[in-house]
Amino acid sequence: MSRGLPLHWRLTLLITLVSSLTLGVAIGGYYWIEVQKIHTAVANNAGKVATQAARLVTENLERGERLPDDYFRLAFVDNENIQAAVVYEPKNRNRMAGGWIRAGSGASIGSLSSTYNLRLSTDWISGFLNQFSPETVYIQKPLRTGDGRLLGTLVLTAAASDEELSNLIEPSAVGMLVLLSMLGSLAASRFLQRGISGPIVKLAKVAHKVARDSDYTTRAEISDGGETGVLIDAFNSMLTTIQQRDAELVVAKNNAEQARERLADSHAKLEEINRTLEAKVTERTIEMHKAMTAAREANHAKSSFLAKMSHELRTPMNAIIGYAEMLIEDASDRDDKAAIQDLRKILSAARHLLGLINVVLDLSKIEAGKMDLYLESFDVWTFVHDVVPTAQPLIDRNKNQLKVDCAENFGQMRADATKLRQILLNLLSNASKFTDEGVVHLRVERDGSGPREMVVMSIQDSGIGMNGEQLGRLFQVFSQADKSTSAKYGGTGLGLAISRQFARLMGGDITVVSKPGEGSTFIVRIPIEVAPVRAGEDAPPTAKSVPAPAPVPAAGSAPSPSPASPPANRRGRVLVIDREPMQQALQEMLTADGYLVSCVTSVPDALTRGKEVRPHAVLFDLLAGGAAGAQWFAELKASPVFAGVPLVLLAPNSESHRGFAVGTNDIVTSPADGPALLATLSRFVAPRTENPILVVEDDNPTREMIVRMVEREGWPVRTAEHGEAALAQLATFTPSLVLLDLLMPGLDGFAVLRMMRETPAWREIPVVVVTSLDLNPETRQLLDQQAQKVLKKGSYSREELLREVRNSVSEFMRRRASSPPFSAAGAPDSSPKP
Amino acid sequence: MPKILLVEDNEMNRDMLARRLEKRGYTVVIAVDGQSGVNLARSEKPDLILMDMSLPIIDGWEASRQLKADAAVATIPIIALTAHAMAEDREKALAAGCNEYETKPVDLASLLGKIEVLLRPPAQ
Repeated sequence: MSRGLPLHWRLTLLITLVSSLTLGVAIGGYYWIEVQKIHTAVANNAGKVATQAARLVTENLERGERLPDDYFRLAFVDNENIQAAVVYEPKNRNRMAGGWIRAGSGASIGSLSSTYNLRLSTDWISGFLNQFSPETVYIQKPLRTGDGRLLGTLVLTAAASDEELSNLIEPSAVGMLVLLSMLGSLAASRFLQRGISGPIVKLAKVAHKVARDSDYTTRAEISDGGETGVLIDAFNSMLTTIQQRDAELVVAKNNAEQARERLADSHAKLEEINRTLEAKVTERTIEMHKAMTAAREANHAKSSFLAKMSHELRTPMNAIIGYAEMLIEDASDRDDKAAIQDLRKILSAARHLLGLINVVLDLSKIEAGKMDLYLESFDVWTFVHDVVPTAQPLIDRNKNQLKVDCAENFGQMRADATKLRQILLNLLSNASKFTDEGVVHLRVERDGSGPREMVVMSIQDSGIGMNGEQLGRLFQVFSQADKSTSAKYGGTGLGLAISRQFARLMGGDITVVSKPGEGSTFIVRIPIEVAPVRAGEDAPPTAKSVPAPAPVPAAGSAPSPSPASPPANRRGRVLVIDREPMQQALQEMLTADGYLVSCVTSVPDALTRGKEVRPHAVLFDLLAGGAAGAQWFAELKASPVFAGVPLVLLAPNSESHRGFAVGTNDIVTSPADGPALLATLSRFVAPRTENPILVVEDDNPTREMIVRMVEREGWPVRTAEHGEAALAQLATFTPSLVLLDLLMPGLDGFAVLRMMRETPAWREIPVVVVTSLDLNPETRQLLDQQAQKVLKKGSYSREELLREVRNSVSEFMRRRASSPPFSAAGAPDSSPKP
Repeated sequence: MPKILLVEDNEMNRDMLARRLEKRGYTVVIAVDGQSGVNLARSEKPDLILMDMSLPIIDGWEASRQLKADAAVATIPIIALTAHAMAEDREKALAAGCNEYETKPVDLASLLGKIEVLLRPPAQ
């Protein structure tokens, strides 16, 4: 059986084979049983016959008669089962007394022993059935007389007749039967298939369909019970499981999808929250800024109110003090001592009140950040000994002694002398106020141990001293050790607070060491070189310079630094002399406009720096010098360092400083208006340009002088000795300016100018005519139309020439930036020049 | 005796200062606002001007500017009387062309010293 055959074919084959086999065995069995039956019948028949024959033969032999030869033939010929009948003599078993053998039977009669080997002859059917045919039956009957004497032995051979056997099975019937049975088995197998293979095949189809379509809802039909049913059940339940799993999978997938969506949603929400947060932060920041601004404004308003109030209070005080003094003078003239005493009390009270007002004003200024330092260098010993006489009356009041330790060669310090004096007076006054008949010791020393050298002034007294709690409140505004102290000793406690603020403003501080009953020591520490500061800021170095390319914001924007920027030196170097706070604004503004800015705070500094920087222009704020402004200005002008360097003056009002106009290139009203200042500066410091200036001049010394002047300003220069050479040069490059002589051999300046104005490519190039000619009005008008400026040789100053050069180059660059291709530029610039 | 123009709007201060100056022998001419101060300076040609800064019509700074811009009176020394102790006001005054300043309330001794210095003939 091939395994490749379909199941139903295998089943059919199996059933057919099995049924055929069964049929064969049945037929064979049946035949064998029938043969056994025939055999038994033959044996019985032969037995009966043998018994009869034996009686007869015995009777015959007893009588001694000889058996007739035909006797056996006649006796057995009709009985077809009997093949032979032989009687052997009793003594000799091999000697026959007589016998008969059926003709054609094939049986041979020999001795008695061989007789048993007798075989029946058979035809082809008998031969085929020989193996089934029963043995030939031999029946042996001893022939005995009544008295037991053996007369002989009768042997009878019997066998089923050929006819009996051949009739037993009909071959055609058997064949028919086999055929029928096979057909039947086929039919049966077909029927059986329906029950067994049918469902399995269907199941297979269903499985195939499920596999192909992944349709787990399909179910195999249950057509019967049994194993197939179980199988289908199992398959269905498997499908159910799969379907369930599939459904679960789908659900899980959906869940995952939903989770993903929720995640994305959450993410979006988070982003939204982030954005909101950012917005909120921005909002809060703005609010905070607003609040800060409001607070600052409020504080400013408060300070401004205090300042105003102080002023308003001061005016009547002015009158009170003034009249009191007058009355004291009058009373002195009259020698009215009683009046003098009373008036002095008025004066004293008024001065005290004025002191309070001043302190309040100072405090408000410190709070408003408006307290400025006026730094000056002074000799410390002289300073201290100037203060002492002022303090002496305070010391004397409580019968104290003042001891001063200060080296006469102490040297100079640079600080705000007025404020330091105020500090010292305040501390000496305090020390004396809380000491009776004691010693107030002022020591002045240097301390070089820290990063900055300090002047240390210690004021030690032998007074009442203070406990820790009192020390804690000491420097607070309106705080004295306690109320009784204030009642006894007077004063407001403002002095110490102010003193400390002043010291801190100068980059120093005031500390105190004290024990009740043992006196106090106040220690003032001030840098020997106080840095100019804005109140509340840390001290920066005295002079700042900005050598690195500074940021330049886009044109028109506020001068705030921006990272992307062209090189800062595209315009030139400017040295700014101004106070620290102003410097920053100026520096930002100028740097933004492309200048390389160096800043110093004083003219002496400027002279030093100027040598290094070699500025193209100096910007000097007259107010930077304070009272020394005029002197500084003179120094600046006298210095060879800045000879020929344009000087722009920043002054409160240009009219009031006409005196400075001599030797000043321009005066800009301060506070400087940005665009005005930049415009002024740009007249003196032209933008750096790569386009050379073409000097057309036939006179060698004049040409060289002009070239030197222009080169000194940092511009590239080319020269031409006559008109033709100038035109040849113009053909090779575009100058940012042509300085043109009029009288030249060959092609003169007039011709060059005319040709330049007629050639579109050269039309926009600015021209400054430098001539020694006395021009008639017509010529002058013509030149004014064609050239930017006409300068008369011998009558223009160097500054004038350079100013024209700068203006023209600036104009050239400005125009160039707005309309890059020269040839595409519009009509010639023929507008009249001033 | 030197003639001093006192430009001061506050009556008490004006009266007090005028009287104390007169007592010391100065001739005092009074102006009560900036504009009349400028006018009086031009007509009276005083030897010295004491100029308050907070004045009606035109303030002391502006008046000083105008005076210093006028060649006829530009040489007359001006002492600014600044009620403000603020240094800016001092500098503003100097920038406006004032030759000196005195902070109010006026310390008469100090003021007299400054007056004397400014009135000293340039030859000395």
